[in-house]
Amino acid sequence: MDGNAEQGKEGVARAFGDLVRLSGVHKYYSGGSAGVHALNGIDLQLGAGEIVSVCGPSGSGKTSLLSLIGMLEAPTEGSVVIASLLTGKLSEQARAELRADTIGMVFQAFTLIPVLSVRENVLLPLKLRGQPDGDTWQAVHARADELLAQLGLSTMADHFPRDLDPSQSQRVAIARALIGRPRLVLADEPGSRLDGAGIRMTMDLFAREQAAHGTAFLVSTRDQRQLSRVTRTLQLSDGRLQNVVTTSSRKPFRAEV
Amino acid sequence: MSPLRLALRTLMLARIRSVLAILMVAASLCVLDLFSGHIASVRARLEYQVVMGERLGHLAVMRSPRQDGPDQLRMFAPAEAKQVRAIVEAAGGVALVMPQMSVNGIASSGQRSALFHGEGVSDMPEAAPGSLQALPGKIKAANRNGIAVSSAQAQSLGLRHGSSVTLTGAGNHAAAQTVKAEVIDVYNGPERADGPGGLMMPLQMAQTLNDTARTERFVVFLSDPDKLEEQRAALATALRAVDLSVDVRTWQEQSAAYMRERGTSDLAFDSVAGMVFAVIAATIAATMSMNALERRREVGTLRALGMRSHAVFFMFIAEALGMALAGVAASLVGSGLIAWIVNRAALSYSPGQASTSAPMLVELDFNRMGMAVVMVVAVALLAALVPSFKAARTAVAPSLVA
Repeated sequence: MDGNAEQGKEGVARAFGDLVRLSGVHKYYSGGSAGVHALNGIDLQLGAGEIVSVCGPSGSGKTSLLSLIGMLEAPTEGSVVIASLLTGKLSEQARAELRADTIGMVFQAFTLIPVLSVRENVLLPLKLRGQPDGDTWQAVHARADELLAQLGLSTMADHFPRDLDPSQSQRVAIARALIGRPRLVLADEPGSRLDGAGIRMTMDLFAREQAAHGTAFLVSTRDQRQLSRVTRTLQLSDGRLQNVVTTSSRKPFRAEV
Repeated sequence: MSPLRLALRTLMLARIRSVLAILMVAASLCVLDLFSGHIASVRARLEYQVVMGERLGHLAVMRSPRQDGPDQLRMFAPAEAKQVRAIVEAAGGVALVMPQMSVNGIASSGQRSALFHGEGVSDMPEAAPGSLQALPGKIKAANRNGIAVSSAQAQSLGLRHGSSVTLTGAGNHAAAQTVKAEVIDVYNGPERADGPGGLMMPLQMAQTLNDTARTERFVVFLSDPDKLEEQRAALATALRAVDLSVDVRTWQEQSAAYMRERGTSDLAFDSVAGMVFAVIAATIAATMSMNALERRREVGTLRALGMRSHAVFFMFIAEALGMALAGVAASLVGSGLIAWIVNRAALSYSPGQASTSAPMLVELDFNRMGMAVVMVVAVALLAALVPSFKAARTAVAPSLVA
């Protein structure tokens, strides 16, 4: 996406440095007898190459936080800046393009498209975009197979989602989030259906992607086993960031920032 | 991955619900195709009965009616008749021209009497096409008193080959004339539904009974009946060009029975078509609504991965159209197969108040089938609009929560 052109058209405010910056973000869901204040004054920066976990009990606002950063929803108040672009000023199309170019997502519901094979599901984000960024389709197919192999699914590439168990489906969804080499991966409880080995495999893959490409990860979790590789842990409670714990001395990746 | 490809994939790996919807569309269309085919078959039989059986021909050339004049003025004078015949015979696409005259009266065998509705016809030329040689009632020029009677008339009067019969004409403006005739043929042609027993006689005998030398009409048989309207226009133009005041009528216009059947069957077809299209619309709308509801997460995922909302809309529309077209394809195969089986089974039925049964035949009416396909596509498109619109407006974030 041509950031300068977008800036001219959309009047986008620029902020340099961080891959993600949230300032005074509130998210309020109306409906029912009482509304829900899901996020309450969140300030957050995330740099390239960081692996950050967001912990908190169910209903603490983890999914809402990831949805706002993933531009699936807009904040009720405050600003969300992704890759130096103020998302609130972008059109729906520009947001979709920024998301496709910059962000890979693992959804809580890890839905796979049932009529596509496992490999096609992994390739879907690039197929929807129409072209693989700078790579040939052959290279992209090879990368899909490589990701599936790293997640222990090399024999399942030509199978359909109906043939997979929930753990395998979740791993396919993780490969799908990584296929486009996004600068940021948002993973909403990616280990919820994985066993210990599956979680280790996934976190190892995240670490390799971080080391090789400077990919940043924001991982929401209720499972402490997933914290081994993270550089920071954010604690969310009732929509507020309670504290930030640095859990690793790993330096954030700075190469292409 | 284009929305169209995704829609096709979804159809090819169809869910049970989609398969049932396709079968429902196919079955509904089969009903419509077979009904239209049956109507086409009945109409084809009626056309044969009217054109050949009643000897009305494809076109009839008559003098323009003069409502206030005597019968004589509604007929062609001998010189006019000669001129008309020459012009019509010279026209392209005409297989046969026959002067004819209707005559009503009383036929008496000496023991029994009955009303008759007769047709004075000219000899069948030897050069006439083979299909026309099958016209009912063989009249021979050599036997000027020879007549052909329908089997029903023969039964009514107790006539058979060689029987003598006395015919008395009953023209409104003519003195009653009587002729002696001999039965030389008993034919099994269809009875007229709107008159007494049928009878064929030489044209001169009909003229004698009507006390005139004039010709009532010229019956025209066409080489290509599909060009009926073109030929009618061409003949009318050619005849009016020489100042002949004529009226050229098609066989449909002359047959009240055909027009009645046509009106009834059109109404029945429209009713059945309305029900069929309503069933198809309800089926597609219900199926696509359930699909949109059940595939909320799938749509949310596609939207989150970069598919635009208009692409989701198009994907659902394409799916509905694919479903309809798959139903159309299945219905074509089904209709063809059922029509073949019905025609091979030689079934029969008794239409209306008829005492005899008619063969149950089903043709495939490709014109109506083509129109039905267009209608099905339009109906599917309309029925899928609301579900597709709802799917396109699926809120992404809530749909992705486990």
